Amino acid sequence: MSESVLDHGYIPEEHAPDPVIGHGDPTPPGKIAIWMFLASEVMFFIAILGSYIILRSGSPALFGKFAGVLNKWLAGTNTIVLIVSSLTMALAVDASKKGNRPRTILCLLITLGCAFGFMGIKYVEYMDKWHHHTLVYTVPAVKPNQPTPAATEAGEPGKTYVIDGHLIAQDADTMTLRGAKAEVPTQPPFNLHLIGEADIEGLGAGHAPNAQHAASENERKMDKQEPEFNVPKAWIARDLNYGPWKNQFFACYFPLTGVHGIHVIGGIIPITILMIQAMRGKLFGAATEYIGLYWHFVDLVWIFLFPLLYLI
Amino acid sequence: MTSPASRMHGEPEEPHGTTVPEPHHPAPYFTVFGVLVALTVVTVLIAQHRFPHEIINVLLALAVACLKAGCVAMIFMHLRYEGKLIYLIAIVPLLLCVLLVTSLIPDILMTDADSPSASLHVFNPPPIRPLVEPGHE
Repeated sequence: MSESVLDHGYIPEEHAPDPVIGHGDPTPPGKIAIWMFLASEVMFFIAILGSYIILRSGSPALFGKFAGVLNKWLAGTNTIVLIVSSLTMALAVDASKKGNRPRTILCLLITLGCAFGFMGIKYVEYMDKWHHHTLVYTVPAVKPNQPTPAATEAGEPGKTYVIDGHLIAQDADTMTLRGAKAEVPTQPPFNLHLIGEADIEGLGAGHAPNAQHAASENERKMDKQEPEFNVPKAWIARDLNYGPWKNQFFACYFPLTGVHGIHVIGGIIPITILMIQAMRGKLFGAATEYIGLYWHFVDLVWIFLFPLLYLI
Repeated sequence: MTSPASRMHGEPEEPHGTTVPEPHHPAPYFTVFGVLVALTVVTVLIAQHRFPHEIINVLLALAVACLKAGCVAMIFMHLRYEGKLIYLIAIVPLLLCVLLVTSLIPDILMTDADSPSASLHVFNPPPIRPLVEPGHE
């Protein structure tokens, strides 16, 4: 930074304070640019968050029920991971501006580690939902001239069942799920998209479907070991996993966290470049600051996503 | 490095459009980090308790989130040390956000059950019934 003309106590006319820019070191164009980019990002995220708020207030019971399915402890860990990465990024900016190369490399490395850790935990969460299936199957009816088979663990012949649970194994003809099972009710009609594991446990216990259950999935899992069911694939009539197509909640959850995940990847790339450059002996103080601003913004988005998706 | 000499010469305290390259005192990164972790724990603990009205949970969660966001923006993002220009850039989209969300409130609160946007209220597609019976010839 050059010495300011103001340091000399007298201001030549051509250096008089600009009515817009003002006194002192002008804000670097790069900083203005990154802040304008972040401003557009704020508006981008508020658009999808606003849609989520509208949809959620339209169907509070549905959203409340399926928000309880999410693992808030993993997400909480992810929050801490991102906060740590924000701290190390701020320290990296500081070190980079002071020309402290080893500290810059170390801080950027920890930041990168946290970023990959975040994506790893996110992957575990996504896979958990991906392997969470809702199945409807019918046990084949008995043919007249055949001996009546004993009722197996799969159910009585001719009856239709629904299972909601995690796929733990599958081969060419069988799927093994761990979760809850109940006979499909004829009255009232039930909807595969709106039904969760707690509902099916309720059905088994004789409650109405779609009832809201206060206990979240994790809390119930701590209580007991869930039973396992083997279902021949040939019997399956409907199979729906907890992807964005499950219902409105997951149609909000996946885009929101997915777009945020893409932003994390978008941060990993420049941070890697900055780290490699620092290892080669080059420090880019200003660039590190701008990437840092972006990285803090990614953290900031997660600070809002975490309570809105997982906690309320 | 610029010395903070300009301040000594009685310059206006709040120059707009300028940036202070180095905070006069080291930014309290570790303090903010501790506060953020503590607030994360607080927000999880609050969420464990279900208030009689869900809106209380929502508002408390949002209040803690705003507090955390303020900490990140002010200290980590150095907003505290920036001039008016950066504040302007940062605040305008926030106002637009408030405008956007409040303009959607009529959609949430003032819809009749049979209006076209009523589908927002009840997600109720036609029920899917398993009619296929694979074992039944």
